[in-house]
Amino acid sequence: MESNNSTKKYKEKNTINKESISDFLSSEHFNQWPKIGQSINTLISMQHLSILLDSEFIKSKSFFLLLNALKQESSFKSQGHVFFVFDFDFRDLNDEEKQILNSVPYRLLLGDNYDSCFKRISHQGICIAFLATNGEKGTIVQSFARKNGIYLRWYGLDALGNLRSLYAKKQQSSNKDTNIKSSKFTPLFRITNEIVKIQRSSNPVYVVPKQGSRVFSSHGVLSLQLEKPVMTDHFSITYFTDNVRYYAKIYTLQSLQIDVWENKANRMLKENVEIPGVCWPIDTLKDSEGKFVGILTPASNGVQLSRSVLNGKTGLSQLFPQWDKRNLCRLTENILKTICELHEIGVYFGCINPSSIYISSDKEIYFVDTDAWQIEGYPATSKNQTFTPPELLRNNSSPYLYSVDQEYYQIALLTFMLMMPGKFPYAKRKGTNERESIINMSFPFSIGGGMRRSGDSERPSGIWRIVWDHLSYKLCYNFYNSFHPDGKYSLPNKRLKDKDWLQAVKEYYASLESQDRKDSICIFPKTFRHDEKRSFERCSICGQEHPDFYFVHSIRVQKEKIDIWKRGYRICLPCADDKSDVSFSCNCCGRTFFYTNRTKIVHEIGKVDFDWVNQRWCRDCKKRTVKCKQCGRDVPLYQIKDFEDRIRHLKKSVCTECFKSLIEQARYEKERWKNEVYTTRVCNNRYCGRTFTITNGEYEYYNRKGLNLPTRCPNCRKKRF
Amino acid sequence: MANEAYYTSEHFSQQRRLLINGDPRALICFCVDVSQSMDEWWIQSGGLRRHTGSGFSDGHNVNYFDLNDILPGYAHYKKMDKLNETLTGLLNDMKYDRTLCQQVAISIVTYSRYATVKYDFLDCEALNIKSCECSVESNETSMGDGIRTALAQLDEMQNDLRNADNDYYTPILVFMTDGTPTDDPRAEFNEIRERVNNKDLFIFPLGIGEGADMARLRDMFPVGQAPSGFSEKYKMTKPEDYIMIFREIKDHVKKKQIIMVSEGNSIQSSPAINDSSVNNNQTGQVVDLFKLI
Repeated sequence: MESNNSTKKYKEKNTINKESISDFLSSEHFNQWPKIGQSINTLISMQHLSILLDSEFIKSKSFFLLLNALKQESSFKSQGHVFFVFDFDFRDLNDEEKQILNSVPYRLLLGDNYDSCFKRISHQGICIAFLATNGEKGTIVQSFARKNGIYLRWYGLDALGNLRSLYAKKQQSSNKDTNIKSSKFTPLFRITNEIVKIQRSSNPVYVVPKQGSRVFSSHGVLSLQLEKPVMTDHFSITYFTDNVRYYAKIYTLQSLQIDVWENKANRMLKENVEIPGVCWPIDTLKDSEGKFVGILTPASNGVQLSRSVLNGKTGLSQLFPQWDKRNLCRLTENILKTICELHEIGVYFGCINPSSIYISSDKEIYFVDTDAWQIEGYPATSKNQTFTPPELLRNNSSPYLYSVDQEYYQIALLTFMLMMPGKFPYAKRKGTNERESIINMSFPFSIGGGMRRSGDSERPSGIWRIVWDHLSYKLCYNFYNSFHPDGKYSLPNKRLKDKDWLQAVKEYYASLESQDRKDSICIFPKTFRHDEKRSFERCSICGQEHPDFYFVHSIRVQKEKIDIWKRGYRICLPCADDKSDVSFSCNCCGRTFFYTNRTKIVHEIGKVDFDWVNQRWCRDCKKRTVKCKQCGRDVPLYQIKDFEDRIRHLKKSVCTECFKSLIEQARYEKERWKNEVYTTRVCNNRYCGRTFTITNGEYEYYNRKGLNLPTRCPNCRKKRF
Repeated sequence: MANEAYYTSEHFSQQRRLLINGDPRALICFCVDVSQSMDEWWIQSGGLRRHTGSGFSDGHNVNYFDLNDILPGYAHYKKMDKLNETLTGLLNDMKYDRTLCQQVAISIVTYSRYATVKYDFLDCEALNIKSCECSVESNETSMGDGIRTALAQLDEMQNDLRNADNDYYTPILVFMTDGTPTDDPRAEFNEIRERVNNKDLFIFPLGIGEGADMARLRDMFPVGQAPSGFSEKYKMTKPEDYIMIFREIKDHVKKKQIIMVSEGNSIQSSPAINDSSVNNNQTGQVVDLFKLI
């Protein structure tokens, strides 16, 4: 037993493992390391420690805090101390990052991996402080360092330039200390229905910094010059600064009269939220008098979502012309992932603002104006009609704090508008506006044969019908049930969650990757999805293939239904309503009108089977009315005829009825006039000598024939002949 | 009957464009007075040596003059020419604007004795600017017919957009006249007032020349909704007036088009600075935090 015990002790003494290493270290050893919460300057001043920089640390904003601290610790450089960087990490940096690294003295640790790097320095007995951004990496690097007998501890930096702990996942789950918070894995902000108390600012500013002014971070670590404005909202202007990594968001004078902005910023700064793409405040900003004026945020890049993807085909073709459906899916996925992470830590949008989401690519997304979000009892600072749930519009209610269920509605809407780029899910019917279409939930898209359509909307016939068709069944099912008034996810508290949408989009993306049909990948396909159940035909006019339901099958000619499909006509719906080569010119306005192809067929068939009259007036001129000069009625212009009274030398525009009656009257008058006496004569016959008359009609007759007027009476003329 | 369908070339072009581009549209209809009086001249004050006579034409008194009597150095133009110049300038601007060209559709309705659709609705990008120039016709001013035709055009286009499931912004009617109507447009004015009141229409009633009846044009707005300084601002007498007003129309269109169509006519709070080179992140209405104090 004794020997066993002694053997056991021996083994314990000579084995290096995590639990027992402290047995071999003196108390002095512990005092050699900086403590969590101490400033980075403390670490730099500890010249017995070597500082090793992770590549992610160099890329992060924390590196600039290190740079600033180095300016104050002039002894570091003067005594020839350097930082260390893994050689393979250095090779991963881009030119700009390498250039930034050049501003500090450094040396490369040669080797292709951690093990080989540490092997080279294992005999030197150095202690390394490893500056990183990720606890997992710290654990990995530490294990290799220990394997090679090197003491290594890893640290992160907080916004104030103080050392902080970084936890790996395993450590997180085993950490029983509930006071230790992680930015990613536990809710940092509590969900509440109570609005915070807002008061007038106790120390308000009277002049707000503008372009050219200097502002200072809360502890004076950073001093920044405001350059030109980059973005604005109602409450603030965000400026470029002389440090490319940061923007300064300065509030307006009126906004700064209340304390909510400062309090909210301080609350946000208490938690170090490092979600990629989320421009969480780094620090508060003060003016030269030390008064709060704004917040320091990471710089962003790209264009607003509202001006790009949500601006439909125009926005996409100008800004992302090479994108296809896969890019949209990746973008949506990345946005939803960020949203899920924000929800995990208790941060809500309140009312999603797509103008505050900037995209540089489908992977590079920036969520700016994070101070406008709903965080604990701090309400979201703007609301818009687009993303307001129908029940709120219906009840005309406008809560300060939105529930997570209302957030889920907005996420569904955002997902729809991303997958159907720029299309709002609700359709305006005649006589209603956008607000009413949301309240009525006029969702015009349907799915399958069993689903009922929204009663208020006709089935769309344009491009959106085709885009909808190319979405996955799951997405269509989810959208339909979320936006249709009868849908099972349409009611409050029944809505799909953010993770459900993320899953659906991921599955859709996976299906796109596996498909080899170009049409489904195209954002705006030309035709419907190819399906085994559908038979496709080619249109005889445009040459495009479509499923047979997208063709004209029958037309009505004089109330008789004729099956043109059987007659061999293959004309798709768009071409049916497109211009044919048959036209007419309006006799009234002179404009040329073309018949649709559908009408052309009607005329073709009509000419064969029925009588047909050619068009002479357009519908506008047919409606145009003029007052009849005779009866005073308003009659269609094309029914007006010009009546000319040659006897009285009169011309007037009259309706057809008046024209007929005027013609009748003229005929009657003419007859009467004909029978009137023109002249009286005495018969030339010396045996007759009677007086006879020549009527107007007779006079006209002789005149027309070029004859002289008769000189004998009708009786004598008759006897002679 | 759907089987008896016939349209102008522009209409078919637009239908094809709606099938390719499902973006929301902003509709602008120009309703232009092309009565005889638009053939009149405007001469800068003091620029005419003498009149040669006077008369009555198109519902009002006119003076006649010889072109040679215009003093050198004084601005002068025919109302129709100036209108065409500014209108085509505006259309050109919109045609070559990257964002507006595909999302703004234009129609032109002219009216004198009758109203005619001179140009059917078509996206700016596809406009034939030369064909948009108007010419003087007969000597009556059927304002009612003009308005009726313009409103019918807008209704039909909105219908087409609905059928294609495209969204659209509140349409704009730019109504231009230089004189008094020779018909009775009261019913049409009522219709416009109702639409403006319901926020179904934006109207820009423009008076051309000194003889324009601004009081009558003001009547197109619901009570209390006429813009301030209407009579001065929307009366085009000097050449620069035309440019100013058409620039305002373009700015209005651009401003509306930046906002998502789903926002409709909801309140949009203004940003802290109004600068087109600065991204405006403001969407919708701000929450009044002062109320929570």
